[in-house]
Amino acid sequence: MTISVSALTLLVGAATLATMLAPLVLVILWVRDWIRRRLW
Amino acid sequence: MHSATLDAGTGWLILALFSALWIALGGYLGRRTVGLEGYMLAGRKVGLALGTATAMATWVTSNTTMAAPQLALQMGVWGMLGYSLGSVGLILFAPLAKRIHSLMPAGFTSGDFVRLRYGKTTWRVFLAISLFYGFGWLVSMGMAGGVLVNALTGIDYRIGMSVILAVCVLYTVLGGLRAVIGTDFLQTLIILVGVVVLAWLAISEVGFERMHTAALEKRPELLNLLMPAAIMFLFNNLLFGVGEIFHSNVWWSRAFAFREGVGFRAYLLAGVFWMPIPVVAGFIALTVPALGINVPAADMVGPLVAARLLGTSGAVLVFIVVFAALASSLDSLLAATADLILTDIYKGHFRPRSSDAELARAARWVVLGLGITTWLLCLPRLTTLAELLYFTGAFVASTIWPIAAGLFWRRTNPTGAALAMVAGTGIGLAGYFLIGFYVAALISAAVSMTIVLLSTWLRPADFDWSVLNNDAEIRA
Repeated sequence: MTISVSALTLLVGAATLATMLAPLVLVILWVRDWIRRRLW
Repeated sequence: MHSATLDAGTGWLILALFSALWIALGGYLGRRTVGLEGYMLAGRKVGLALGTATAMATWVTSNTTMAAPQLALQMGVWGMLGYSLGSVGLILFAPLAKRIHSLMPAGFTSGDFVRLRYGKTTWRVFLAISLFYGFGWLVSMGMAGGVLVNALTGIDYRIGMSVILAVCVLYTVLGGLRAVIGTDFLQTLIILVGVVVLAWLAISEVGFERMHTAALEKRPELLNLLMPAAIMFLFNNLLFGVGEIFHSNVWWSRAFAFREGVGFRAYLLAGVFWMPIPVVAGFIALTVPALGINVPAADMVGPLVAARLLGTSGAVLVFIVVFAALASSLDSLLAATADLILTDIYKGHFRPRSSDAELARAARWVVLGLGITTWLLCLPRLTTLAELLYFTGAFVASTIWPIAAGLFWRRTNPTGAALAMVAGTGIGLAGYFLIGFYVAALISAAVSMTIVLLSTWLRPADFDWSVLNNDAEIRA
């Protein structure tokens, strides 16, 4: 049983998109914590 | 064709620049560190952003960035998916972190919990397992530093290993957990951006259609969804990861350090964000058949593909990502293992009356001593030591049930918990030698679970949770 092109595209595409979003979310959270003085 | 290896001059330049950055940042963050709680637990008020990033960065080791493509090349799609199941440990630890913080708001280490929850015998068994694992991971990371610097830049193993270890020890000594968590944030961003850039290039330059067709033609097993070895690896990796995270003080110290209400969300987010990383870092190995790259050693597949796609810049990018991944794990391990040695060995066994001020002074010496010990163990480059981590699967998986049951069930039997760890480890190790590495964690967890459940059913205890919230008991 072999993974199809579309399944591979979906798997890797979704993973790349999620990994791309992660730094953005972290920076947004950092700014939010910084504004609220809750970084540390 | 571009080489995956940088010249030593460029390697030194990157090492010097990033070493200076981590030391300066660690020193800057550490300047406000006050007292024992400030040094060991960053003041116990770490917010969601830094909390999530430190959990992610610590769990992204050099293995994640280098071994994920290697596993994809050896086990195909399941290799990278199996690796991504390492995130289950982080996700499952989210409710535990919440429980730990609410039961023991003044706790310091995982050892504190086991001592108060199960008594001194179980505590000592747990410490033996935890320290053995901590040293195993520390030494394997230190060695990985030297090996990777050597493979990526040609710099001598001993020099590369010494520089990376010295940098991590220095900024951890300077700033304690605050320095570790602060640098982890930047290291997480570097790692994430680095793996995404590589993945994006692989997708745009090779494309899924070409990648799939070439793999199907030259290496069809990489796309096989029914590869038995890969499926066994998947389950073993899952349990190994859960065992590592549930017992290790690396994760407990963060649960104590996070601000009220942060632990659950930080670990959950970290697990969710961590899950796709091995797929993104690993799938570039699937481009090997399409790009026609000759891979002499499977563990160099990541740098080889990066160099083919990006030229020298690719090799530079891989080196920066690997350095960030190494530092983010090494510093956390140094800090958490030093905490365990300071609190549970130095104070718990030799200086029970030591004050917080004395412990705060000793903490820096313990980190330094731990760094020097690790350096001495890494010097001979005993490759067998790197295999310690495979070996520790049986040890760590035996702690899953005693920890989880001890946190949530009042009736868990303390003697059963100790027995579960000893028997789980012993029988798991027998499985390791008689059957194979891929069953050690599985057997260990099953034996441990059976003993915890049976002993609790036959001789239930009646634990008073308030003991865990008693400051005098914690500091006893």
